[in-house]
This record gives sequence, structure tokens and C-alpha cells, in this order.
Amino acid sequence: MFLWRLLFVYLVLPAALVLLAILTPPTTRLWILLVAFPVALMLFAFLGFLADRRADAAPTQAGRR
Amino acid sequence: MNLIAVTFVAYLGLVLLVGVLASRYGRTMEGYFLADRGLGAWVTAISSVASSESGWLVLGLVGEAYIWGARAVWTVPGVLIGYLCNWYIVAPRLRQQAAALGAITIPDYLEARFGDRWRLLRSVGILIILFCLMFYVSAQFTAAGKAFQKAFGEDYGITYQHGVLIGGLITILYTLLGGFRAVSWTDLAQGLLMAVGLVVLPIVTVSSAGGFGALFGELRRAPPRVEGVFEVTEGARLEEVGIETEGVDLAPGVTLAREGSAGGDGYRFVARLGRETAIEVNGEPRRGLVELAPGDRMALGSRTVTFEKIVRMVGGPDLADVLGGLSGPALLGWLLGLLGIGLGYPGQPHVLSRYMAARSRRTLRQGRLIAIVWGCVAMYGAVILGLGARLAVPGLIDPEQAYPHLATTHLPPVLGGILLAAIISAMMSTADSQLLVVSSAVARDLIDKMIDLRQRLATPSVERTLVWITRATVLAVGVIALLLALGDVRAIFWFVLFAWSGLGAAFGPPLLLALFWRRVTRWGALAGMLSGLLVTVFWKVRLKAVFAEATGLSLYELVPAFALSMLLTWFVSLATRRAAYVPHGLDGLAAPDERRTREV
Repeated sequence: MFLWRLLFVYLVLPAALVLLAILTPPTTRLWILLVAFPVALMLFAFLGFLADRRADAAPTQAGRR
Repeated sequence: MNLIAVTFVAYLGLVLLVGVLASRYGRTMEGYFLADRGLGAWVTAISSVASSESGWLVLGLVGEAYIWGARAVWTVPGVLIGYLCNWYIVAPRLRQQAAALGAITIPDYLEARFGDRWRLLRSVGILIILFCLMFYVSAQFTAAGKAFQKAFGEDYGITYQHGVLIGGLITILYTLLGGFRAVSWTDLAQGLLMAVGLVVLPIVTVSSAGGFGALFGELRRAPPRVEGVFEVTEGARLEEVGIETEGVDLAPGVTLAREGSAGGDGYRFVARLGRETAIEVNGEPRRGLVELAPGDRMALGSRTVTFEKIVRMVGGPDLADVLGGLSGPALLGWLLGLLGIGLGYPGQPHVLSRYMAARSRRTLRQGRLIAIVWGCVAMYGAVILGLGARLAVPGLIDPEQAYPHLATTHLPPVLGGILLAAIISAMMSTADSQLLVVSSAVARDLIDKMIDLRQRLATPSVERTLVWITRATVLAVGVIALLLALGDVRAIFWFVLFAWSGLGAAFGPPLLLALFWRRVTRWGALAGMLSGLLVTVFWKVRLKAVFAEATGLSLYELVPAFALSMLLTWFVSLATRRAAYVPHGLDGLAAPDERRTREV
């Protein structure tokens, strides 16, 4: 799990960004790096935060029942 | 006193007040260095990112975008990759394991994690921290000195030395009084201030350009430029040496000029001297036409002028393209260099201490959302500001001055003062964290643990005595850093060249493996730490040029240093696997699913 996470962060993610940048026209790659990447990253962090909150709340609700 | 100065003084007063308020808490070593492991989500998140970014974000990255255009944007994914690694991989395990082992510092953690009775890891850790961070603190004071001089030099006669003393003494004072708690609280305010500056100024520049579409349209038509930057060694920047405007007298009979044709590398910089005039260039008397190269020093009367650098700026369609017209090895080197910045994050002790001080696992989960949003806003803000500044103030000789220039000329005085305070904030938030880490290496790792003062004193009030010794250490380290900043600035920047990469490659790979792999040994960790620092230094000093000559690829030193450190930690651990050691209480190394692990 640790190795996969590390490889994803340091190899897969940057390689995907570089490939997208090289394979797309200038305007598209500008949009990818300047808009799509930060929006996707913030969305990922937000959805992860919501999932964590749900996971934290689940045992408590079960306990109440 | 004008409104900008009033805002500035109010900000400095506020920072000192935080130090005084926080001084009521840190009565134990853990309290002083880790705020009793009680930081909330906002403080953990913002203080960690503010202390890692420093003045580089508000000055350096903005200047980079000004010079190189849209291709500077690759710095942002590089940094955000570092945030992802730290917040999603390193932070949860480090907090849990450091608490279980009672570790306060990174050398503390490494020693306890590997059961290192010989204290090799702690000793090497102390040396690496002193080598990399001691001069880094001085560099932050130097930057503060320049920022103060820039902001208040003309109106109030503040010199570089005054600026270093004001910025340095205030930072030392609140760090000394309040320890980690004061540093983290002030970092929260400073980080938010930096974000405000990097939102407001880009909005101003983009709207003055007529929106994003117009901005990029104009950038595609912007011409390339070559500039020379001169500096007086007493500290005053000679911005009036406008090479752009051709031929400015520096002294009777001496004229500096730009020669050649526009574009690319076509310009050369020369000093034209009258027949009767001779000046000393690099200690030798010269006459006639003298061609200048970066680093050349000229004696002009009582002053010495250093020709600092030639700045070649990209222009035309390349300015608005994220690949900047690069291809082949040049593009690969550029991408590896900027994306490789992220490799440094898991090895910065002043950032890692925030995760060790987080109150709970839930704090970290909230903190990572805050940190990533802050990172996206501040980093992209800096790049867009640099691009906008290229159009708004096209004649800047030193592109790193884009932010302060726009803050003082394009905004009302109070807002301008607040945003100028954000620059000093950026430096202070890094300097205070680094000052505390260097002090912890001396007070905790050396005096408390290696000299074992706790056992030698063995009095009921020993903890309080140690905190006072720690405060004295902060003062001593701070004063040394201050004296260095007032002395030979060039020596400081020689060491700073290795700081980020050296720490990242020395601590990052051994720490990552120690957190997750049972089989890593102290010999593996030691090999990783030593190789990380040594490869960084040798690559930067010698191997980088040799490698670039052979392959055409200019490779950022952190990339090979991190890779080699990781490989050596792994191989040496396998070779010495009988020495593998996992202390009691490290559930993290066995927990298969972190999410279901109960709160510690």
C-alpha cells in the first residue's frame, strides 16, 4: 500500500501530467495545468475529507443504536 | 509616519504579543518544542505550509513566472506533489509513531525507531541539521533586511543592517519566549497573510490586463528581453543602473551600457571608461572597454559594485506556453527540476515537526484539505501574479521585486502595507521554524540526550531548567545567525544552495522507509542519510556540469540524491537485515488499514 501510494505520487501523477502536456495543443495544456489540475486536486482532497468524516461518524452512530 | 509604516509596525507588535501570550505554556521540553502535541487542524496545516515556503514563494516564484512565463507553472505540481506525499503518506504514521516513542525531534525519532544505542543517527542528524539549516536562518534574516530596506529605506533611512536587526531580533524574541506554540500561531497568521497577498495582487494585475484571455493574448505578443542586475556590496541595489535605458553614469567617466542586438543571447554588458579613467575590476586596474560577466566586482570610488547576473527573459508565443518552446533534454531537465522539488518535502524537519505536534489523526485529515487548498491558491496566485506583472510593470530590472513593487504602486496604502507585511511574514515564518529546529538539535539532541544533562542534574525542577537552557540556545543560535547575516552574505548563500535538497535527500528516504518498512535497519538509515547529503553537495559542485556535458541534461541535484539515498537505505537494510529492529508500541508498522485504526 505504502509503495503504491509513493509510486503514484512521485511517478504516476507527474508522468501523467507531463504526457498530457506534451500530447495536447498549447491552449489545452495551459488549461490542464492552470485549471484542471488544481480543481481536480482540491476536489480529491474535499471528497477524501467527506469520506473520512463519514468513516469517523459510522461507529458512533452504531454505538448509539 | 505613513499608513504603510503604521500597518507594518502594528503587524510586528502583534507578532510579539503572540510570543508573550504563548510564553505562559511551554514549561516542558515537549511543550516548548511540540506544543504538548496539541495543535489544531488550521494551525497544523497553515503553519506547515507557511514554514516550508518562505520568501521564495512571494519573491522567487513570482520572479520566475515574470522571467520564464507560463513554463514556471511546473513548480506548482512539483510543490503540490510534495504536499500530497507529506499529508497522505508521512503525516499520519509519523504523528502516531513519534507519540508512541516519545520523540520530540526527527533525530529523536530515528534513534528510538532503530534502537540506536551508539547514537550514530542522532549525531549525523544533528550535523546535517546544523550544516543545512543554520545558514538558512541567516539567509531568511538577509532577505528580511533587504525587504525592510526596500520598503522603508527612502522614507525612514532604514539600511540593510537595520532591516536585518529588526526582522532578526523580533523573530528571535517571539521564538525564544513562546517556543513552538508561538511559532505555530504566528505562522498561521503569516500563512493567511501570504494567501491574501497572493489572491489580491493577481486579481489586480489580471483585471488591469483585461481578464485572463487578454492577459495570455498580450503575453504571446510580449518581446524577449535581456537585463543586467548590479548590486552595491553595502547592500543598496542600484536600480537606477537602467541598462534598459542605455548608459548611466556610475562615477565620473564610467558608463555602463548594453551592447548588441535584441533577443536571445545577443546582448553583452560593458563598462565604458574614459581615457583618463581606470577602475579596478576584480582587483585589477582596467581601462577602455571592459566586458562584464556575472560575479565581476568593480571598485567605484568608495563603493564596490558587483555585476550580479544577466537575466534572459522569454518572450513571444513561448511566454504563454507551459512548455515554453523547450524540447529534448532541455525540456526534460526543466520538468525534472521543477517537479523534483516535491521530493524534498518528506525530509524537512521544520515541516515534519508540525505533523508530530498535531492533536489527533482527525486533525491531520482536516489539515490536509486546508493545506492543499492553501497550496493551490497561493502557488497559482504567485505564478499568475508573475505573468500579470510582466505586462503591468515590463521594465523591472530585478523581477523578484514584482510583488513589493505592485503592492506599493497599485494598491491603497493600508492594503499595500498589509501585503508588504506578507513578504516579511513569509521570511519570518520560515526563519522562526528553522531557528527552533536548529535549537532543538542543540538543546534536545545534544545537551539533553547526548550529554544526558537530565540524568546529571537529576533535580525535581530539571525539566524547567532544560527549558531555560533551550531558551538560551534559541538566543545563542539566533544571534549567531544574525551576525552571519550582517557579515559575509555570499558565504551564507553558498550553504543555502544545499539546504532544501540536502535535508530532503538526507532525511526523506530513510524516514519514509522507517515509517512503513519493518526491515529497515540503522545501517540502512545511516547510509541513506550520508549518501543523500554527500550526493547533493557533490552533484551541485561538480557532477552536475559533468553530467550536463555528457548528456545535455541539466539535472536538479535532489533527483539523483533522493534516488540514491532511497536505494542505499533499501540495499544496506537488506544486507544488514539481522540488525532490523521494531520498538514496542509501533502499531503503525503492523496496521493493515489505517482508516479503521482507532484514534490515538
